[in-house]
Amino acid sequence: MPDHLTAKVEEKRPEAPAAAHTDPKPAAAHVPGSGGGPLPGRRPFGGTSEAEDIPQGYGINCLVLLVRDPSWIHSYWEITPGKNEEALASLELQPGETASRVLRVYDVAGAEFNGYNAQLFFDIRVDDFARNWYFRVDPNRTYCAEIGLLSSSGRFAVLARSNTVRTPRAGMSDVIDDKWGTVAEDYYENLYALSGGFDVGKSSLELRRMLEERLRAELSSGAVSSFGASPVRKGAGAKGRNFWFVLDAELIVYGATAPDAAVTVQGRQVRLRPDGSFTLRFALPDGVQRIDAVARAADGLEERSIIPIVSRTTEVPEPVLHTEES
Amino acid sequence: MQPKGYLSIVLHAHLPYVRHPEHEEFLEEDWFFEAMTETYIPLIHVFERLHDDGVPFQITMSISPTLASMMNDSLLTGRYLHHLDKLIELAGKEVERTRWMPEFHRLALMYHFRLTFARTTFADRYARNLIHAFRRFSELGHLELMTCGATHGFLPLMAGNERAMRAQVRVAVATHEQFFGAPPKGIWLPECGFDERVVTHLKDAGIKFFFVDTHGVLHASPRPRYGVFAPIICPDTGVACFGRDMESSKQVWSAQEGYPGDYWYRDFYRDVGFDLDFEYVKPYIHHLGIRKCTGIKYHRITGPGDHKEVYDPQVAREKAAAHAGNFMFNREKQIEHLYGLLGKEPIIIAPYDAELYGHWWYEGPEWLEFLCRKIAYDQQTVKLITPSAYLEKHPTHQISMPSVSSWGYKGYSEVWLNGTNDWIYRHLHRASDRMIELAGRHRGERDPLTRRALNQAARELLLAQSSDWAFIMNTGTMVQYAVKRTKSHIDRFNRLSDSIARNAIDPGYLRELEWKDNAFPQIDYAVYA
Repeated sequence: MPDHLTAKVEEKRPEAPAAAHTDPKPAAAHVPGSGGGPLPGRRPFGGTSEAEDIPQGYGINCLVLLVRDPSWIHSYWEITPGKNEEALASLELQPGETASRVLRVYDVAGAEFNGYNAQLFFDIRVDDFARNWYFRVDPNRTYCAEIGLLSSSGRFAVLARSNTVRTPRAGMSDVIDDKWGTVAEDYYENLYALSGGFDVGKSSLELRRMLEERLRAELSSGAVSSFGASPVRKGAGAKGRNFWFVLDAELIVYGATAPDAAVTVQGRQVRLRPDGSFTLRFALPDGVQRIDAVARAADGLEERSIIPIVSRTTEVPEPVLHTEES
Repeated sequence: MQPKGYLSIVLHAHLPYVRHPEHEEFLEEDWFFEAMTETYIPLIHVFERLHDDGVPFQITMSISPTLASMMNDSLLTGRYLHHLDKLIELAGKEVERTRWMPEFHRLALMYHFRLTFARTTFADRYARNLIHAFRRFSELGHLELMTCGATHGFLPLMAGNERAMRAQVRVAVATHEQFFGAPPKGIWLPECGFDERVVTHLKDAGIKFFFVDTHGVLHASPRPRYGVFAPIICPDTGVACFGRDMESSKQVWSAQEGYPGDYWYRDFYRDVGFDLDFEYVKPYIHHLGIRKCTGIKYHRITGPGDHKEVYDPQVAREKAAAHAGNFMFNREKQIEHLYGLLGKEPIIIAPYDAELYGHWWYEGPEWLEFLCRKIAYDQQTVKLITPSAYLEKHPTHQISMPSVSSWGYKGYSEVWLNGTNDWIYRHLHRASDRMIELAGRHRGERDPLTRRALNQAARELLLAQSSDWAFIMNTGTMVQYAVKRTKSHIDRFNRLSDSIARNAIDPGYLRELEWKDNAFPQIDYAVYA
């Protein structure tokens, strides 16, 4: 949506967490959770008039990875207390040793991960009470993760293993299909530029950056969110203040006559209520309005007129600003 | 003379399923009413005028299953008619109130005319069901109708659950066929959210083509020889993928450079619902007295500040014509250049949210009409085409797998996966897994009550999966409603599935849900098996 046409009162751009290993960002609506959490309470069936809510957890150990973009993965998990105990016990911690929760992310490069065949991995320390985490990765790679307990001596007990995900490519593919003809060196650069709607003649890195900028700034989707929002009322405040004031005036003209009479105001016929009364409402601009009101009896033998003449002018003095002292 | 290239205007019409029989009036149903009055009916008028004048035109349009369901729903269309009648009443009062202010008065007359004309179109000519209108233009050969995900579920965040993705596709295709008389050849993936695993399911559902954002094609592998200017065919399935053209998008969407921001176009925010005296507008705003848009607006954008001049529809119309000419001219230049570079006719894909036309950009439908006329009569380089017609003419294309992508801000999944909305996914995923479990266990279920419960569970899951909720949470307006919808559908699903598993279905509760969440009446839970 074009920015200025959307009814977003406040621009919300989700920020990528800065560090490679990040804190989770619980949203306001985030279900508060302990590390494991009790099984969801079963509410008796009582119809949808009761508060409808989501459970804290489902009592199933799991770790799920969701790709956010070429450089970020979001993970969420649920670990039952029982599983946690089991894993802790299996570590057989010696006196003085501690164990902490760790998200171990494996780069599995296309192979089916069996626990041992990863190319490399990195660990992210996560809070015991965390239930999700965003972490930074590379584009066009395949990842799998485990959440587990890592002892201070380096032993690792798995609590749950995730699905395998692949991050998308961040630029053009290196695979070129010769079947479709060989082309000049700069052909693809030109094509990329044209496809992205830029001027030709930029390096592919610049082009990619511009494409990202374009996606970031201008061409987002989504109409429904804009429905129903209230417009932003900005004030023409003095010295950049956000104060505003508008005022206008209207005129109500009302009258009554015999219910079977014919009434015109400024030449236009007016419909009467059953009791012979009527009301007119007019926006009143600056200037003079001559309101010719004529009532004609039903038998056509008598006409009466009443002509209010209304004038309006408007003064708008400069805003008065008070300093702190006065 | 043969054209040097093709232009495909793609309009994506979608609203989430918002229908609250339990309340007499519900604020969020306004989305539907506004879109009907300001976008769908005006577009139909454009198609009617073009057709009546014998202008050759082809436009591609997706109508999401939830939107089609609402257009077909008599509760909502009855409420809409009432809403429209109130607006006409307000417009009538405005005609009287503005008698001493000619510049406003002529606008009031304009709105009164347009609203009453909209009413006759809706109520008389199409019998309160706009599906008839879109179907008519499809049958006349002007409109290629496509579907969209059943409830606009965002596929890349379904954790690769193929059955869940497949259900979104299959329910969509079935619903589309039910309403439009034939299965769709194309699909608009919700938010262009592409996950490679959906392609086989598209193929199985008879889909021949879909769309992705620019980088979805540009970053495809192997590298696409023709960039976004030709479709690519997905490996092993033969399903074609078209990529969005940035250049034509930018001219319409862009906040800085786009047409809709022109100072002579109508300003969206100066609505009488907010500007006029409270007592006067009270009957036409929310019944609790909360001001809202009515659609009657008197000002033009004028400039970047707050000062707004009165709208001049004549000048705005001239602008729309000039912008249409400009757009066409740019497409001609673009296509001529590409024709030289590529050695073949490029196809330019120009997709937009339908609601941009008329609702956000009041003059949008006029622009579209001018564009179609100019393309038909003022030049020979560009020809309007639909993807199906193009594929029939040019069936052979490079095989390449598009890249995971979306047309959302930043190009991937961040809009729907960030601190404001990431909490929903563990619930959606668990519910999908559970639905599949239940569907498998109850294959060929005979007991009618159980079948109904399973079908309703499927409905609740689909409704919970609407990407609109996560989108709204991210945007920050109407968040409460989106959160409530997510929680209630998940809760309803959980209770239903629990009761099915324990063989203790509550018929009263089930009936209540069937009444409240009545989308997709023909759904068969087996779509998850």
